[in-house]
Amino acid sequence: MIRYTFFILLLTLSFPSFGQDNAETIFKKASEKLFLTNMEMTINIKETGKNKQVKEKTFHVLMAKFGMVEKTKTVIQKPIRAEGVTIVITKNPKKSGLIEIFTPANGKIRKLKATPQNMDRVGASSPISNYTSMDTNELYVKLIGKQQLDDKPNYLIMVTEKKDTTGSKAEFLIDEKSFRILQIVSYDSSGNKSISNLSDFQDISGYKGKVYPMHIVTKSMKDGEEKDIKVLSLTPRPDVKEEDFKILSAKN
Amino acid sequence: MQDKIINYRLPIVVSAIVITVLSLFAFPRLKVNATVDDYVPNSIQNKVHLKQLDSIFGGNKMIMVMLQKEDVVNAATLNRLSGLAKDLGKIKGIDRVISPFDAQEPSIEDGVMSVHPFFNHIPDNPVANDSLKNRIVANNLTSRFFSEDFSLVSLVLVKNTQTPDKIIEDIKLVIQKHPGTEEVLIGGMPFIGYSIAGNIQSDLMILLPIAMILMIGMLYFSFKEWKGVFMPFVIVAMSIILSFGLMAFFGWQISLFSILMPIMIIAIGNDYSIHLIARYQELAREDETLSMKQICRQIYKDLNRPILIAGLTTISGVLGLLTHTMVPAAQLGVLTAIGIGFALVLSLWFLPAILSYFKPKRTIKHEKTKKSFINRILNLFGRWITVYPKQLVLISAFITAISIVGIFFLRVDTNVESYFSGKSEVGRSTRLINEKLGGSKFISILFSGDVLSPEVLKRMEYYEKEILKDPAVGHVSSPATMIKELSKGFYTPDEKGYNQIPDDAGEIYQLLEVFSLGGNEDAISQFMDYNYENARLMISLKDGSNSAVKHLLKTINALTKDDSNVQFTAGAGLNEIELADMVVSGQIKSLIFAMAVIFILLSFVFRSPKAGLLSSLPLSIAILVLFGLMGLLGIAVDIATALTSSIMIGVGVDYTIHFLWHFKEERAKGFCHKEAVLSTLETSGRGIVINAVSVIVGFLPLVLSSFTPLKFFGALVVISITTCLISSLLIVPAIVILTKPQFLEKK
Repeated sequence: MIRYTFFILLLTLSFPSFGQDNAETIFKKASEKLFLTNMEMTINIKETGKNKQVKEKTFHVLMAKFGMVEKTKTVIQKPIRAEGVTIVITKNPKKSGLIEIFTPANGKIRKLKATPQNMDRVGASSPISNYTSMDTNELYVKLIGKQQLDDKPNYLIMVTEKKDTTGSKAEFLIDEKSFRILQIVSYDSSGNKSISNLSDFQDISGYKGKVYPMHIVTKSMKDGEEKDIKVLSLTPRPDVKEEDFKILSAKN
Repeated sequence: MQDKIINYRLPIVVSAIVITVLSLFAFPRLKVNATVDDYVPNSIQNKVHLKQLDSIFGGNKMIMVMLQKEDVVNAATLNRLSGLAKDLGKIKGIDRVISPFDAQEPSIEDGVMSVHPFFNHIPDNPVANDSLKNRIVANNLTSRFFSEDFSLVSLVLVKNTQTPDKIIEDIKLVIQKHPGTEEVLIGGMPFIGYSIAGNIQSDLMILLPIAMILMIGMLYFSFKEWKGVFMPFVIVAMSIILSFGLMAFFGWQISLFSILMPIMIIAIGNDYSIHLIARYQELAREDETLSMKQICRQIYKDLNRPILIAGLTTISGVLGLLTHTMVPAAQLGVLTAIGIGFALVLSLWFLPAILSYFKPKRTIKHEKTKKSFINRILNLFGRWITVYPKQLVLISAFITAISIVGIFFLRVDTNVESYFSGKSEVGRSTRLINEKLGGSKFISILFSGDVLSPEVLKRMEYYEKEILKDPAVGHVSSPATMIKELSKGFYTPDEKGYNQIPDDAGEIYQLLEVFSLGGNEDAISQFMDYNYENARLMISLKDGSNSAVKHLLKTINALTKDDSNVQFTAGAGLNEIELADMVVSGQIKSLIFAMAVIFILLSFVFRSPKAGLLSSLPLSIAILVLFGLMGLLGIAVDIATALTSSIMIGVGVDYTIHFLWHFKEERAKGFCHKEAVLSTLETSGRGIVINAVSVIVGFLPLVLSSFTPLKFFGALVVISITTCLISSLLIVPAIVILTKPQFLEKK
């Protein structure tokens, strides 16, 4: 009887941590499925503004990780008048991040601190990387429950950054079988909600099990702004070097 | 007819009560609409342009939240403002919060330009505060939130177009959660709209009972008999209920104008019953053998025609408001006319029917012989008229001539900011915004085409400089200002290009694209649309008065007349300008309509156009005196005061009708002209004076209104009715004595 009671007690005490492990494992598996670094892609974004006006942009994006430092280089291809505008984002966990912007029309380089606001905006082309590229030790991950999407059961996991004090969070809907992230519901510090639906997953050749969503639709529930992001091409670039992220050729 | 009224008195009383009760059931459907812009028809050009601007740039209704203290640059105040900015942004319906904490400050680090938030940290010592003040003054994006003397700091909340002005209540709740030593003031058009709605309700709740109490007091003072109080009171109350019931039934909303409706019915609607009660007392005093039923038959027989004519002319005058282009003014005309019409029917049928159930009050002897104050005044009038008729006409002509001079000083002002007294919350916040923060009312100039070309932007820059010279203008901003500011992030102060519009359209485009990528799309969308096809120059007004805005419009038109990129100038401030033009044209149209109807009606009743002219004379004098006084005293014609003349015509003509009617009867009895005047003044004169006093007393509570135009309206009605009364009892009799018109003789 004592042994039986002890077993029940042990089971009860360890129950929350089972759940925790489970959530973290699911989230980690889902994150690891995504191919997020050392790659090159061309993306097309169709932005629909508050007044239903539409703007189309095309970017060439290069992403790589050099030790702890993550770099992303975005070069605007369209609209034509902004062609060549280049943005290089450097994320360094030990230092504050940096955004460098090059405008070919005047050959000038502008540097900005990588504030969350600026990062959000510049990183808007890939909303999936906000939490998935982070170490799960830096995150609180909690399994909220299960939710159906297209009649298929999915895990619903809530993720917050441990050092975040603003109240930002995200809910990930993860396919129970494939561990693909199908939907991300993000809440900013003011509680404003935006929903990203991920689809058209493509296997990355040479990286078994790794996938990337080729179609992402993000909608802001506050103002109705919508971004329809289509990945036109995606190539793994294990050969990418730090020099590739240098902003070259100034007018003067 | 008088027999039928007495025979069917019960069905008459029951029917009137049933109609009133049915009207009461519609009350829960009544709604308040305080948005002054809604009073303007949708077809007017500025409203069409405003809609176009809204579709391009989104809603632009701004609410300002201000903290006021001797010196706002200190940690406690700025932290409170920061907390407010954060929490106010969470309110549903607020699209965005623009605050000094969004401002950025460019600096050079490691030889390369870098931009940081202006308020990286909030200092907490006096020395650092002084240095912060210097930085604020040097930074255009931050300084616009502070007053020059640092006694005021503000936040701008951009309200969603669909969100009602009631959102102010949520804002107030958030403010309560952030207590502090600073006074918090709210400003901007949505706050004005919200305050108007609140004040309409409180005005109705306060002014209506006051008007009723004053009416009861006046009636008791005049008749010294409860029947004389009860009957007019019940008739007026039933008429008001019917009008509000119909308002709900038609789906019309309570507007600023609607406050006038019950007041007008109280003031005008009891006139007919007053004449009937006065006649009942006369008959009861003259012949003690008469029963109440006989008296009731007699008062109907004696007065039904003059009362009917007076009622119809009043209704015509009030219906003059139908010609008004502003829908709520026309609705006011319809509802008041129906209310007065119901009061007229109730006075002629319901009053004798219900009065017949009571016993007549027999006046004791000494009351019979004692002359009342009113009669003593009327005797004095009689002496003047019979002895100095020419002099009276000349004096009135002289006063009218002086009034005509005053008309030249008359001005029109429909600025909603002037609806509130300077001491009210709205008045204070509006004054502070206008004096210290450059104003909260905006007008925009829309540019279309290649709006990012350096030529167009340089033209905008030139317009900005020129428009800023106008004393009514607070701030002017455009994409030109923004692009110049952006250039500071790419060029050092000693470089060519710093704080300048680039010569290359491609560079301008790239500056904007980069700015947009930096999370500033909201800032861009204030001035440009999504694809940079349209842009606007925004002008804030620190003086929104009609004359100031009209002058500014002239300047803008002269500046931009040859600019093919300029599409139009529009703004909420301009709605009021068009409103002013509508008020003036509405005023003229309703005056002509009412005067024409009265002229035709009285010419027909007395079978002579001379009667029409003579009846119009006191009104014409009163109109000229009214507008002359307004001009001389600096009282502007606005949406409320503009209604005064129509109401005065409707009400004022009654006195002349009653006088002429009774005078004709006296002449028929064989009295000479002078005797007939004296006799008419002694009999009908009393009813006319009580009638006029009741109107004056009815409108008097309006001077307690929360709205300045309604206060002036109340005062002006008092002045104009007094003028009408004096004209009817002095000038008309004097002219009658001098001209001896044929239409007043028995044929």
